[in-house]
Parts: sequence; C-alpha cells; structure tokens
Amino acid sequence: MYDLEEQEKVDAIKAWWKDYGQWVWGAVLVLAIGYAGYQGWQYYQRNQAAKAGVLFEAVRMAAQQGDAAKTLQAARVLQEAQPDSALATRGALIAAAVNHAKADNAATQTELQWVVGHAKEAALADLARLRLAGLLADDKKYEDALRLLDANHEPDFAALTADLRGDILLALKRTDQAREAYKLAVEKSPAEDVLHQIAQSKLEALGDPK
Amino acid sequence: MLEKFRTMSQTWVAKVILALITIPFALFGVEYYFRQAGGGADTVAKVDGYAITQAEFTENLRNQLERMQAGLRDARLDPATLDTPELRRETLAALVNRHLLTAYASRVRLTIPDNLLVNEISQVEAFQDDGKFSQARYEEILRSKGLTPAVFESRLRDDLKVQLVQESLATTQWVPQVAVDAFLTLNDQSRELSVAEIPLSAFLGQVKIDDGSIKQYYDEHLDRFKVPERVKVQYLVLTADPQAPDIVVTPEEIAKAYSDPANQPRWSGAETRRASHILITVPPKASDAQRNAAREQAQKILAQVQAHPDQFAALAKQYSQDPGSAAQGGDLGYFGRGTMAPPFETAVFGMKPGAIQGPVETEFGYHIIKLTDVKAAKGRSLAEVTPQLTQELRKQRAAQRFAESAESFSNLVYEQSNSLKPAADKLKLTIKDSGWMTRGGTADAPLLNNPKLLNAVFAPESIQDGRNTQAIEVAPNTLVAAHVVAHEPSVARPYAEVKEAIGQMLQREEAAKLVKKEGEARLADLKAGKTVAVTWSATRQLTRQTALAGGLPSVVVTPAFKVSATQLPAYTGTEMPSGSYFLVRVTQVTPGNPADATQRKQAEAGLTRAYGDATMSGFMAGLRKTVDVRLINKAALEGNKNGN
Repeated sequence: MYDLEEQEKVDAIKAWWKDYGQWVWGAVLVLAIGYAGYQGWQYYQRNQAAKAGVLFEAVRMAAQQGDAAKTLQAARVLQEAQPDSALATRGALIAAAVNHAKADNAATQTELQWVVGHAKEAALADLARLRLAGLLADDKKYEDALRLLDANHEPDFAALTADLRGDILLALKRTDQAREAYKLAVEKSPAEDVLHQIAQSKLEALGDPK
Repeated sequence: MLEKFRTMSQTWVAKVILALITIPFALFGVEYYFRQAGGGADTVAKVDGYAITQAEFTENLRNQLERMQAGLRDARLDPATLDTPELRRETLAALVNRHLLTAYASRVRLTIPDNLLVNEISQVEAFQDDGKFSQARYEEILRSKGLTPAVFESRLRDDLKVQLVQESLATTQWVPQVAVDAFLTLNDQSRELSVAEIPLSAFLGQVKIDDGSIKQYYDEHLDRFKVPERVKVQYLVLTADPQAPDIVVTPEEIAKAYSDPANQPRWSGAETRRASHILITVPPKASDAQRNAAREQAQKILAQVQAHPDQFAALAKQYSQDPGSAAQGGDLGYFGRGTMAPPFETAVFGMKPGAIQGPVETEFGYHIIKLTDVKAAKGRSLAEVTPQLTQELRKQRAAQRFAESAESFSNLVYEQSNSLKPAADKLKLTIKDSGWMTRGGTADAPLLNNPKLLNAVFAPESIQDGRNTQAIEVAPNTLVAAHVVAHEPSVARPYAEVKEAIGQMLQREEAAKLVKKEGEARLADLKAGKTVAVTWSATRQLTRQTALAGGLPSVVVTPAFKVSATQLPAYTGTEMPSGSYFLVRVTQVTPGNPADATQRKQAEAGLTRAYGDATMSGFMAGLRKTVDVRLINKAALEGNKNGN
C-alpha cells in the first residue's frame, strides 16, 4: 500500500518530466547562455578598464614631473585607445591644466575641446566648457566665451558658470548683466563655499541697480 | 521515497537546480547580500545601498578624535568633550562623501593598476624593515589590525580611486585672468567713509524702569540667574612622595648602591670634553649628488672657519643646521664617551683643545668640529655622591611604595564606598577638605581639576548615593578618590542681589530702542537730502580689508561696502552691540587696481583654492543627486551626553 502510493508519485513526476522536460532544458539553456554572455561582457569591460588605468597612470606620472609635452602625448594615447573611458576624460583635463601652466593655449584648447566632445558625463563636459570659456576670455574673445557658457545646463557647476559669466560681463562693462550673473552664482552655491562669499562680495561691490 | 530522492539528488537535474540557486551569488558576489541585509539598528546611513555600520562610523569618529587631541596637546582636556554632535555630523559627512566617490568610481570603472598599488604599499614606512618593504612585516601588521591583505588592498584601491577623482577635478583648476581682474576691481574697491555716532548715553536719562518690570523680568528669566551646581568634597591623595619622612635610607644601602657595578661608570669620572660644531645635514635617503653638495658646502665653511677661528660661534649661528645648538654658537656642552655618534666621538676625543676639524661624516650629515675644553678624568668619592644617591633611592622607594599601595587604595575606596576613612587609616593618609567647587573645578586644589575626576564627583552615585568616587589617576603616580560631603543644586540668585543689574540692563535695552528710532529717523533725513546735526568723523579712504584691519567692526564695514554708491554721498546706518547707532557716509568710490602684480599673485592663489573647492563641492552635489543617500540612525549623531 505504502509502496504503491510512492510508486504513483514517482510515476507522476516521470510523466511531468516527459511533458515539460524540454521546457526545463530550454530555460536552463537560455539562462546559461545569458550568464555566459554577461560574464563575457563583464570580463571585456574589466579588461578595457584595466588598460585605461595603465595608460592613465602614464599621464599622471608625466604631469607630476611637470613635463607638458609628455603629458599631452600620454593623454592622446589614452584618448585614442580608450575614448569611452572616464579616465580618458580625466587625462585630458590633466593635460589641459599642465599645458595651461606652460602657457600653451593651443594644446590646452584641444584637450578641453576633446572633453566637450567625448565626455560621457554631462557635468564634466560642462566643466571643460567652463575652463575653455576662461581661456577664450583671457584671449579677449568675450562673446565666444559667453556663447560657450550658454551650453552649460547641468546643475553641478552652475555656480561657477554664473560667476565666470559675471566676470566676463564685467570685462565687457555690462554691469547690470554682471550683477544678475553674480546674483545667480550666490543662489546656486552653498553658503559654506568660499565661492559663495566671493560672489556675494562682488555683487555687493557692484551696488544696487540704478 | 527518501531513498529515491537521495539517488535523484545525485543526478544532474539536482546539480542544475543547485547551480541555479548559486548563480546570483556568482553574479554579484556574496558581499552584495551582506550589503542588502543592512538597514537594521546597526546601520548609521546608507549610500547607494552600501550600509555604513555603527562600527565603521565609530572607528572613524575615534580616529578623528585622536587626531584632534594630538593636535591640541593639552592632556587635561578630556577627549569626550571634543565629541560633539557637530563633529559626529562632519565625520559622517566625510564618510558618506567617501562612499559616494567610491560608488562613483566603480560606476564609471576607474581602475588603479596593480603596480601603482604595489608601489603605494611598499612606500609605507610601517611595512618596511631596514628601509625595504618586508612581506612578513606587512602581513603581521595587517593581522594585528584584523585585516587580510585582500581586504586591505581593496580598501587602499578605493582610497586611491577617491584621491584620483579629487585630484583630476580640483588640482586641474586654474583661474582665468578675467576672474582675477573682476575680483580685484570689485573686492579691492575703496570707499571714502566717515561715521557719526548717536550714543546710547544720550538717551539713558530718558528711560525710567519701575520695580514691577524688574521683578517681572526676574521671574520670567530665572534660569539666567542660576548659579551652577556645586559640591564640597573630602578627598584622599595617594602619591609617590620621595620626601616622605618615613622613607629611611641607610648608609649601608647607599654604600651598596655606590659599589653596584652598574653604577660604576657614573662616578668613575671618565674624561669629558666640550665641543662646538657646525652641521650640514644630509637626509637619510639622500642621493649621491645631494651628499656631494653637502660635503662641498661643509668644505667651504671649513675654509672660512680656519681663516677666522675666533668667529666659529658666529659662523655656526649662520650656517649650522643643527637646531639644538646653532643658536648657542654650535656649543654642545660637556659630554663623555658613548653619547655622540661614533665618528664624531672619535674625532672629538682625538683633538687638541682649540683645534678645528672637519668635515666629519655621521648619519646626520657633515660636521665641522671645534674642541673648546677638556675636563680630565676625576673619580667621585662616596661622600660626594651621597646626596644624589639618597635622592635616587628615596625616589625608587617612593615609587615602589606607591605601586604596592595603589591597588589596595583603589580597592578600599571602592569596597568601603560610604567613607574614605578605612582607606585613610589603612594607608596612613590624611583626609583633606575642598571648598565649594563646580563642574569647572576649583582654584584651591588643582589635583581635583582632572576632568575624569570632576565627572565622577558630579555623577549621581557620588551626589545622591553618597558613594566614594573610584580612585582616579590625575597625574603620573598620583591617585585621588573623593567623597561628596555637601551638595547644592543649581539655584537662582536672590532677587535683591540681582535687582540693580537687571534694572540697568533693562534701562540700556529701552534706551537702545530709542537710539535706534532716532538713528533711523536721521538716516531717512540724510537720504532725503536734509541737513542733520551730527558730528561726522574725519573721512578715511578704506578698502574692505583695510577697514577691518584698521579696527572698524564688521557690523559697520559690511553695510558701508554694501550700500549702493550710484548716488554720492550715500548713507547707511547700523546698530552697534554697545547699543549706540552709527550713521555711515560714503563720499567716494574708487575701483580696485588689478594691475598690481603682488596683489594679482595673492588673489590668484586664493581664487584657485576657492574655485577648486567649488568644483569639488559642485561635483559632490551632483553625485548626491544621482546616488541614494539615506540617514538611518539619527541617534548616532547625538552622541553620548555623559561623555563616556
């Protein structure tokens, strides 16, 4: 009796397996392929990231030695090999800074422009535009600089963008607009930032509008 | 059935099912599950699913406290007093930022190459043996901190990633010249200012305060007139006192100490010599080029010294890089053999008085040495050293006795906690009485001002239960236990005592209101172009900085530079903390001069830092928006009020 019941259950399982076994097979296969693909993709990504890490280190080393030409070269190697890497963006920012310190404006500009065109993070493209605008303004290309700043939309560097806009407008003697820009810089910066106090004090020094 | 299941479980079907269960672990790593499990009472905050645990928070807080205390160098300060809610909030914010950056770094796949990691680790001095990285030492130190190399390396990797993000944003910052121009033109603007005071004293006479309102103020602000809680205590001090009369040192003991072979070199009176030197330092890991440069410099100085031996002291002051002796003209005083670096000693003890020799190389660098005096060997007799030995033996005996009694002292005051008498009787100590003292301590008995002791004295066990405090080490080799004998809770001072002071304060308050009204009326007159009868101070041409540096209070400077100068003269006014009112007149505004090179340089340095910080803070704010940050346990920020 006991054995008979057991036997029935086993038969039922066998019957179920006959009907649905292929589906179970299929599901296992799909999962296995998916899993393998995912692991493969992960491996590829890790591998690429590791390569970028090594190339980036070369940029950093050259920058630490203060060798602008070598930094630029290393940054370009990184950009070409791993254009999508977050490290390529940073390599370009470093190369720009080192070359700016050596007053090589052309190199600085190409690096920043590369970041604007390739950065996967919108905020970093904003940062590059911000620095590029400063470069143009120092070259007296005020209107170009302002146009560039118009393209900054992310909130991250809104305060810095507004502050620089104020500085450029002041150089153009467009005081009323400069006042508005500084006001925005004050609003967009947290009160504990020194930038907040700097913008506030520039705003106050301009006085109230007529 | 069971048997069948067992056989089945060994077939491939079961294996596949088992594999399916384990797949999520393989995909995300076991850690993922631990992270998900967070959110309990043990979690302080969560950043992007990562739980900052109480343990992690506490460890960081402790490190922060240790850093702060090391910075203060005031041993009397109880570390618990530094543990404020603000510090806790800052610590948590720093931790959250760190994890935000780590989460960001892994999202955008920032990687740290292995060789960089290896390089960083091998440069840590603690992991080095004889200046070289030692694997054994490395593993030993990690073990003592309860870390495996894998965990430590992954933490270090995270740290380097955080550093990389900060470095690539903030340190790549520069300041455009247009920003320096704007800053200097606007912030360095100078204004020609004068002020006129409407003094409080002119209005004091117009105000009469009746007793009713004084009493009312007193009743409504009782807590302001409270004197702090205070106690009187009896206390016992157990200390190692070498002058205690019952410490007896016999002549036999002194003789024994004198003849002790370990002490012999002290009175055998070896020759001592006095020398001066000029040191050119060479860092421990200096390159050959650095070493050669130092030697050449030393040679040049030697030539100078040999040309003018009498000017050795002056030259030492000028050139010597030994901070301890340079100011004394290089003088090192008398010393015997065995105190100086061996090559130095060999040179000094081989010279004749007045001779100059150099450069002698030691681990510190290159020395140019002048021997100034020689004291010949001269032994000291037992009689000569008896006073010194007596003192030493007394000190030894006192420390010994303290060590013997300390435990029984601590136990007695703890076990017989309702009185200090048993401890005093047993150890022949005198119970002393303090005067009234507050939580801030007392000037009469400095020993009682130890923060730990004060905490114990004002604890409920001492005040309400009348128990002894435990024995607390208030200074090296000094234990104190106290017993509260009188206690006065915080009470308000009687009305009669404070009545006059309240009356004066209210009078000033009322007068200040009148002053303000008057000041604002006159300001309105000035703005309307009317003449006002006030005395203006002499005009001064000031920038914001010179005004503040010149002693104008910021309550005056801020409005003076804020008031619109489109129409001159411009007027503004401000209440002073003293109750007076200042009218401020601006008669001229001159923009700053951005042409000054030194000012430009200074401004540029300051702005670079400010803009770099702003870049980082903007970036962090952006991260905070994309990553889920949640504070779970608010209580962790409150801290422990008892200061434990």
